[in-house]
Amino acid sequence: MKLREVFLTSAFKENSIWRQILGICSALAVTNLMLNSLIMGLGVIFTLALSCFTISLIRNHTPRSVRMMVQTLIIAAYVIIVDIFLKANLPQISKQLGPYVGLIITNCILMGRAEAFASKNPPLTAMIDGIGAGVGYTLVLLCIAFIRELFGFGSLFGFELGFLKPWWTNWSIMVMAPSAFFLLALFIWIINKKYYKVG
Amino acid sequence: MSSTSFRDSALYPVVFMLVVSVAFVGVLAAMFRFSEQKIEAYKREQYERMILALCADSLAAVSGQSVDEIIASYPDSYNNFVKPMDEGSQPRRAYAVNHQERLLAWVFDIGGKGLWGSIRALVATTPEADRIIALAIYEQMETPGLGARIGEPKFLGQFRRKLVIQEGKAVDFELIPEDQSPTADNQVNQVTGATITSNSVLKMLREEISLIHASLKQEEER
Repeated sequence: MKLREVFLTSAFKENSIWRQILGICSALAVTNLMLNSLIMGLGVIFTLALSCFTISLIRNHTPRSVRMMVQTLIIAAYVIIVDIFLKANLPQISKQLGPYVGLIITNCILMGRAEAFASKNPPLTAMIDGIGAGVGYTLVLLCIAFIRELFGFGSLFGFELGFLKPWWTNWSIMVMAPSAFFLLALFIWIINKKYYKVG
Repeated sequence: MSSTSFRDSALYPVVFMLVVSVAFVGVLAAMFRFSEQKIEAYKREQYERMILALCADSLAAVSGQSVDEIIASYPDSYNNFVKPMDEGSQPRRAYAVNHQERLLAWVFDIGGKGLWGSIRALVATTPEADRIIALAIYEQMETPGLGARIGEPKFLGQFRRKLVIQEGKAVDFELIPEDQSPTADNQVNQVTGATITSNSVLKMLREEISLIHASLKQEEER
């Protein structure tokens, strides 16, 4: 399989969120602001790329019985590296993200890609697959966050929209968790209805 | 023993896991060691800057410097004006803000329960600890966009110069909707959609300041 094809498949055709319904928890939690979604997405892309690469690199030496433990360990290590790096060098951003960075460890996409792809393919292909899955995930997060931030705060990426301000009333529901459930469900339904033969 | 037979043995997964763990934990430990001081130093600076900002108004009124000058001359201004009290000398961690040997204000490190987790705050009070000078929250886990808005200046600013202890008793604060303007001194505009969190802040202030006030009074009598 060509690298380009690997990327497109894992980013769009087999998108983690709308096709595999993985990584839903964080997609619900961080999508009330676009900036949070973007930085969460970048964190996931970084960890996915490196953990898939490493897991694939040692795949031929990893005993089957402990492969899950090894994968979790590698993922956790990269996430902690991101966390420490942000805390030491970009404390402002680290503070804004709060606990979200640490939560990347529990993102199902990471385990999913490690188990389904990285443990069976060569390192470079695995890394491209990881980046693809991360990009697909980030795009979905940004779509949901766009709607939630626009309706819930009247702003985008933290910038208040001047033309909305005088007459717009913020929808509190968009800031709260339930709206993410509705929006994500609608999103998955529309994409699947339009581009895939369902059922 | 050839390498293929060792790979088949029951010991191999254990050894493998051990080697991988040691390698990754080693990398993490090294990285943490290198960043530890940087992280701590940044935290302490933010904390000290917060203390300074809380009482900058009071300092500006007596020292002839402007608020901006005081904040800009950190850490000199902090070392000049703020004196951390000995651990255990007060019921909460305390900092005395002095100007030429005269006590201008106290800053206390207080805490309480929020909706999801604990709230940690710094409160600057008058030397008698009966009136708030300013309030800042430095740690909280409330809902972003709702409860977390207790950290915004709009909410915290309401506590400037608020009387907390009146004639030896804690003042009963009253929450009013966000868009109403207060008619009495004890009224505070709540954060819409976060009644529990808003109440938690009021409760924390009442309880912690009552405790501190009582202990200061006791000390005075002695």
